[in-house]
Amino acid sequence: MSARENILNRLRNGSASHPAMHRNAAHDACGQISHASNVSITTDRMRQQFIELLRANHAQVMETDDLGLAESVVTCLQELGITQLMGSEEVRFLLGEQGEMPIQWQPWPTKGNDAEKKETLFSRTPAAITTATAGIVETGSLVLIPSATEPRSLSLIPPTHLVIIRERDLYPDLENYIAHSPWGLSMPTNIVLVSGPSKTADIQQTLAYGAHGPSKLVVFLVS
Amino acid sequence: MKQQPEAFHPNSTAALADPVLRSNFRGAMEFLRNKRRTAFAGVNTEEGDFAALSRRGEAIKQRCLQQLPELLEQLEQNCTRNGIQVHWAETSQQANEIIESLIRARNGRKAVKGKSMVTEEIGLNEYLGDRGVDCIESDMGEFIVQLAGETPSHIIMPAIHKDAGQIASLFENNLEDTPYTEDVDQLIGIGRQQLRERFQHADVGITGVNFAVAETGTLCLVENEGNGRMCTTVPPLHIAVTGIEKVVAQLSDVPPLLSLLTRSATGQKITTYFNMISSPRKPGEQDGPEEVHLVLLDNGRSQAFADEELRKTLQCIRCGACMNHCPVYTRIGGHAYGTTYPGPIGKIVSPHLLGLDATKDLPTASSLCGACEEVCPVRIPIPKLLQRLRVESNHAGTAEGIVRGAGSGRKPLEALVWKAWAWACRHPAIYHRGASLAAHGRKLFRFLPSRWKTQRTMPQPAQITLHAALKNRQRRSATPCPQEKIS
Repeated sequence: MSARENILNRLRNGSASHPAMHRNAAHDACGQISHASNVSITTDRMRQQFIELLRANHAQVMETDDLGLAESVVTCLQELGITQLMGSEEVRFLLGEQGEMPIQWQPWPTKGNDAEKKETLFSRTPAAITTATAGIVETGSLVLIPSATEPRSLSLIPPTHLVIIRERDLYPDLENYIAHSPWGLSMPTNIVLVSGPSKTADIQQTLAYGAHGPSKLVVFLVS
Repeated sequence: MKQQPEAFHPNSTAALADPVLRSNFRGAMEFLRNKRRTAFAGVNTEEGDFAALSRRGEAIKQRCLQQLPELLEQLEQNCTRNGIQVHWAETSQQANEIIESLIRARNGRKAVKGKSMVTEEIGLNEYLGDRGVDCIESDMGEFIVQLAGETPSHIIMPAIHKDAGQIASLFENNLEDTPYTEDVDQLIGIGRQQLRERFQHADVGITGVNFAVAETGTLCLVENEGNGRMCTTVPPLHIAVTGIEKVVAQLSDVPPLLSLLTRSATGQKITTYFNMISSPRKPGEQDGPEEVHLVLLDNGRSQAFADEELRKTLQCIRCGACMNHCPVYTRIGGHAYGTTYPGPIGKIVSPHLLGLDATKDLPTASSLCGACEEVCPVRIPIPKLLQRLRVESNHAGTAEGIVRGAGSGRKPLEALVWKAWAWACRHPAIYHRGASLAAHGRKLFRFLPSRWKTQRTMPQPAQITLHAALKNRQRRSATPCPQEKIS
C-alpha cells in the first residue's frame, strides 16, 4: 500500500476509535474578536489607525489624492535620491505618463529569459511601485494581489517598494476582508499581506530593517 | 544533525554551568515574554481577554483535527486542481527521498530554504548535502546557526543562544572579506548580501507551511524577513513540506489562528509578511515558480492522533510561547533537549517522532508548574500530557501503553518498591510495624543512597507515627479536658 493509504488508514482508525470529540463548529464562535465596534468606527478613525500602525511598523505613509499622487511620488523618490522606478503601464498612466517627471520609468523586463530578468531585478532596479487591492485596519496591512502586470517580484526584490492604496479599500480586519473577497474558492496564485519593510530581530533581539525584502516601504494613501 | 535526547542529563548539566548561554537565554526569554504580554493587553474581544481568543483557537484546531483524514484528502484534491502536486511521506526517509527526486528531476544543485522546523525534523540539509545538493538556510537566525554548524535552539528565534559578539566572530571567520563588527544593522546587511546572490541563482526553494487551507488548496506562510517570499517566488521550483496536522478546513479559520500565532510568538499583531500561495505560475504570469509541490509528513503524528488525549498534541501552531515561559527551558536552553522541538511542546511531540525509549527523560524534565498551559494559544494541556507520557513510560502492554517505546522507562527496583508499598498498605499490621520501625530508625535515613540528597536535605520520618499520635490524642480526649477552640 502507498504511504498515502497507510497514513489515511491510520487516521481513519484513530477517528473511528474516538468518534465524538466534544466540540462542534458552533463552539468556534466564542472569543470572536468583536467587529461591531470596528465596523461602526468612522472612516476617519479607520484611516488614522491604519496610518498609525503602518508608521509604527516603520513604513512611510503619504496622504494624498488623485491629483496630488504623481507629485507625492516624485517628491518621495527625490528625497530618497532614487531616479528610476519600475511599475506597470497602468500605474504609469495613473501617474500621468511621467511627461514632466525627473524619473526614468523602468518597465518590467519582457525580453530575455528568467535568469536575465532576475539579474535586472536584483542588480539594476532600485525601486518599484505597485497597487494594493485592500488595506486591513486592525493590523495596518496592505493586501497585494500580484498579477501578470504587477508580478510578485515587484514588491519583493527592489530595495524600495512604493504602494498606492485607496481609502475606500480599507477593511476593518482580515476576517471581514476574507468574507468580502471576490475570489471565492478559486484563489489567485498569490496573495500577500505586507505590514512594513522587511525586518528581523534574529541577532540579540535587536530590530534591523531590510533583512531580505525591501528595506524601505512607502505607502501613498489616496483619498 | 543527529538528535540525541538520550544525552539530556549530561547536556543540561553542561548548559547550567555555561554563564554566557544562561544570560543569553534569560535576556531573550524576558524580551519575548514582555512582547507577548503587551500584544495581548490590547485585544478587545466579547469576553474581553486572551482566554476567550485561545478558546476559539482551540475550538478551530480541534474541529479540524476531528476531520483530519477528510481534510487532507480535500486539501490534496484542491491543491492538485490548482496545479500544486501533493506527495505523502510516512517517515523522514520517505520525505527526504521525495524531495531529492523532485530536485533531481530538474537537475537542481542549489537550494535555498526558508525557516522550517519540519525540514529540521527530517534532517533534510544533511540528506541533500550528502547527495550533492547545496542547501542554504536563508532565515537570518538559521543562516547563523548553519554557519556555526549547529541546530536551532528555539523554534521561532533559532540563534537566540548567541550574542552579537559571537555572531560577529562567526561572520569574520567564515565569510570572505568580512571585518569584525557587533553592529546589528551591519551584520544583517552582510547576511542580506550573502543571501541575495543565493536567491537569485537557486534552483529550488524549500519552505515549511504554517497553515494549509483544505477548501481552497492554499499554503500560508508567516514571516518577517521576506526570505520565505524569496524562496517561494524566485527559484523555478518550490517544495513545501508540512506535518499533516497543519491543515485547516477553510480560509476563515486562518485569521484567528494567525493572530494568536504572531501575538504569542513575537508579540506582533501581524508579521511583516503573510504569504498565501495557491498555485504555480499560471500562463501569462511573469514570475513565480513553474512547479509547486507539497509534501505531507506523518512521522509519528498519526500515533498521537489515535488517542483522544494525546491528539491534543497536534493542536500546536508552533508559536514557542511555552518555551519562553518555561522555567526549565529558560535555564538550560534549547540544545540540551537534543530534539528538533525543544521545551514543553518538544517534550510532548518528540516521544511520537522518536519513540519514548529515546525520549523517556524528557517528560520528567518538568516541574509541572503549568506556565506552558497558561500561555498556550490553543490551550494544549501540556502538564497533563507530560503526566500521561510518564505513565506511558512506565507501563507497557497496558491500555495506556500506546506510544512507541512505552514501558521503556520502567525500573525494576522502583517497581518493586511501589509493589511492596501497595502490599503493605493493604496489611495494616505490617504497615504500622514498618512505620514504627522507620520512626525509630529515623536517624539512619540520611545514610540512604539517593540522588535526592545532591541538591536537597534528606527528609526524616517523624519521631512518632501519625497513627500513634492520633491514638495518644484519643486517649487524652477520653478524659475531660478544655474544649479545643475551632477557628
